[in-house]
Amino acid sequence: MTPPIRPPRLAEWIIERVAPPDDRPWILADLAEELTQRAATAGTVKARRWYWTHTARSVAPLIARRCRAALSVRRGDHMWHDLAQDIKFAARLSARAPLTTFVVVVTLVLGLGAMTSVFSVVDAVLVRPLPFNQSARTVQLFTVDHGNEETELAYPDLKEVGFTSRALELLGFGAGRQATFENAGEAERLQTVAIDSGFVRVVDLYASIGRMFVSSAYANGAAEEVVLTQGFWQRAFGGDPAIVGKSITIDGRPHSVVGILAAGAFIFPHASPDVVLPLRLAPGALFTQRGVRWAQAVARIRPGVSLDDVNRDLAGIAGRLASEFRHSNNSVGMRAKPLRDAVVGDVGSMLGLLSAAVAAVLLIASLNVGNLLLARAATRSREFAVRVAIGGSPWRVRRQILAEALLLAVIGGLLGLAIAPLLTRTLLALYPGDLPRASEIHVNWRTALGAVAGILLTSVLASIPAIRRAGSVQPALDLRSAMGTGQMPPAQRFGRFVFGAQIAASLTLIFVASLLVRTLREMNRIHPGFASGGLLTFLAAPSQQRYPIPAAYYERLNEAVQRVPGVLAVTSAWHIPFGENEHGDFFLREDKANSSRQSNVDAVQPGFDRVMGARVLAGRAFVAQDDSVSAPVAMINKTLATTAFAGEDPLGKLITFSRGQHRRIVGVIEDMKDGSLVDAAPSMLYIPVDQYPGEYAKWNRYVIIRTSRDPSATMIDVRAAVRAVDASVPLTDVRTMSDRLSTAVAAFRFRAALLAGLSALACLLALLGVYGVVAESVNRQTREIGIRLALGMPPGGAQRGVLVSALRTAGIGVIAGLLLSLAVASSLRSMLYGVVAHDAWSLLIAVATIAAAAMAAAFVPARRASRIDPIRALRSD
Amino acid sequence: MVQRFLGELELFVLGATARLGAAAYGVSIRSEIKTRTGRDVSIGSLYATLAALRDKELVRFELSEPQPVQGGRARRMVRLTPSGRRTLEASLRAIHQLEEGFVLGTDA
Repeated sequence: MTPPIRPPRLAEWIIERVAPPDDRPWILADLAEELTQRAATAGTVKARRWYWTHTARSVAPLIARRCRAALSVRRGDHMWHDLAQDIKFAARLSARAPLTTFVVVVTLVLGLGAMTSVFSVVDAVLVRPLPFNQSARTVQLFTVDHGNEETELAYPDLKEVGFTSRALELLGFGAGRQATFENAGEAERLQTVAIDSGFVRVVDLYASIGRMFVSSAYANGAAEEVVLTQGFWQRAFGGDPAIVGKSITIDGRPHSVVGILAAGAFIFPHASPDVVLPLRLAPGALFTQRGVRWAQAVARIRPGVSLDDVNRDLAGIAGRLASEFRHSNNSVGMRAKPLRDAVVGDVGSMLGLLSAAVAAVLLIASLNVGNLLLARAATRSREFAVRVAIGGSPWRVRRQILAEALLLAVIGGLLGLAIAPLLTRTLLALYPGDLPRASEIHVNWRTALGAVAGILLTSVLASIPAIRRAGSVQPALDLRSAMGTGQMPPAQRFGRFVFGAQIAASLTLIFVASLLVRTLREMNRIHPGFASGGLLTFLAAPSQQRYPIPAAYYERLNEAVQRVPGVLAVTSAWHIPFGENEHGDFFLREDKANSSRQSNVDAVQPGFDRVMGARVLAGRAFVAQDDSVSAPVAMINKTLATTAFAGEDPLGKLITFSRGQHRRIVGVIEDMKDGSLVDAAPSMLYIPVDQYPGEYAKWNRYVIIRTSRDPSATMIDVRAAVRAVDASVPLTDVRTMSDRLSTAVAAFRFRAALLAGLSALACLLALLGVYGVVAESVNRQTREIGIRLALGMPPGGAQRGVLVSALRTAGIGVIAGLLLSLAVASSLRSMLYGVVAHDAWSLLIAVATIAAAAMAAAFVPARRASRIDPIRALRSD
Repeated sequence: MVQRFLGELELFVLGATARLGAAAYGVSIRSEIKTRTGRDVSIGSLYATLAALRDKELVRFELSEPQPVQGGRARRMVRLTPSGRRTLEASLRAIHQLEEGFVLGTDA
């Protein structure tokens, strides 16, 4: 008998990996036996080489065999039978534990619903291209002023771009404004968008009924045409196609309806206008002044030209204009931005945050599902052991767990898909203001498919620990004792992981939420520069036919409103903070060359400062004597005083306006925030409204009312008074100033509320998870604790032991959560105000909250541990 | 049950098992096939085929007593089941019937 030869270790290891467990020892033994025989006849070297080639040849058939066995292909129709059985069994098990099943399904439903709706929003807003031809090559053009701020374009500059740009092939422009629509004696304010023919071509607008404008419609003085949007067509005319060809009255003039805009058309700059008008070139400041920047310009890039080329091209044009028109275009640049980015704006970062938060909640939820499945598998280890011992394949046991996970996922998934459209609508309804491209947002098969794939993947991943647990069944061991003495390392390890990961994820969410809540609080503390309480504001739009000089109307209105009980003072202005009707212009300092400066301009009635509650810092405010016959005067705000008159006293200085008008500065007024509470107040120049001649005198004004009572309570009386003056004048944008301010922080409130909600959900799920893990571990240690109690450990000791062990795991989770929070924090900067990203208070709040929650969740099972009856614990298996 | 015929390798393994009788196990089956047909079946293919035959209940496994030498091991012996024997016979009969009146290499 030749002594046995040691087979090559690596080859042996390979066979061990690939061979089915049943056959493994026999294959190795056969190989060893033949190796020894061959070594005796052909020598050790050849024998070992034989061993290697044989191993190599055996790998493929062995793997194939295992795969076939796993898939039960050999058994054909057995597979479907087994599957049906698995599902039936899973359903029975789930029905037997209705509460846990309910929790899991609800978790999955909420997870999938939330995920689908967030996906839908992200898909519509960030992923899908804008809905027209060549949209990828479409850009918006901006003027970039001194402060690197992007504003609209002046018409002469735009024309220059159109003439000289080599990088752009199509150029169009438009502007949004409001108009009055008169129908059967009723007046209604409409949002209109006026566009030129280039705009129609760039964004590919077409009518679903009728046509777009004929080219002559853009000429001044031609018959006026209008295209209705789907929404307005349905609302005002009940979707009657016969309206096309008829005439409607807009701003007192007849407009012939030539078409209905196709549904889903992309319109701009206002997201949902009522009607589209042709932009008519007219003589006047709008089309001749380089300082008057109002046009929203869109352009299509020539094929093969990059965005950088376009920007170089624009920089060249802007440079030429700057040297040629020094006082209007000095150091003014131009920039192109992909239209989609321009439209979507900074919503991207918000949606990113939202997606991440939903993903975190889903992670916590899936950890719970995983833990639940594992706990079930652990309690059934005895059943699995029996099944394996009497010849059941371990694969069947694994498949059964998978079937259970998938059954839950399918139920949760179907219900989740059912509520997803509802959640999406709720999300949109909650979102303050206009989410860009909101009309394009809906749950579609792509997002639904994505979410379903996500939930299936989540459940399969969640079932892996349970499957591994079931796969490692050792009949001999598990049958002897399914519980009690036998420790279950995989289950316990996974439980600890669940515990820690959930603590970490919830802590991060709570941290982010508290940062956002603190931001909101800081914002609500910002002083806007005026007394915002007790102000009622609205825009009145008298028709130009009835009031060729609207000043008369506003005089009568002021008098009538003044008499309303509870009204302290009334005034009017073109524009109010956080209102519409902004106007910009540029002016020159007469005492200084090259001092051209762009500023917002507001025309106000005397008393504006008093009604608004803004302090006059120097000089005087306007008085009734500042009328059309007295010397022209102006007030500037503090920002303009410091930027345009740095270090000098602006009082008494003369300035020249774009149209050659001279004014003397008589006062400096406090900065009032406008549009945003966070950003610095814009520079502002005030002019007495009675000193604004010509076409500007016809502009609509905001009426500003200071009340002694709650302004919204005064609203009814004020409306009645306004109607008594002239019922045909429409009022729009009727709101209290507090409401306007609250809208300004609405995006922040939305974020804070959403994150607070999600982190509360996360915390709740983590609570359930922690409870489950600790309860499970107490269950497992029942016997051990029983023995120790019997040996004289005080009951408090058992409780302490459980709590200390939970605390240790929680500590690891907290550390991980802190690290994660700090990593996440820096990406949040743009959403914060008045709070640093690494805010210690927020961290402290998050840690305290989650630690308290974890302890509360661990306390109940810990208490149970102290009440274990040693006799019962030892008697039970 | 419908009578099923065997794949080539299955036929070889079943045939070798039948020939070896009580001495059939991994190594001996492989060497029997090698001697009779000249084909060097890899051990992986052999075990895969054996597992498939077992699933079809054509063979069953039996543990032998340990070999009567020092360190001798028990072997997993392979036995034909009655249905295995019937299937083997049916397959062989089919081949013989195909062979009848058929001269290889010449056209009729």
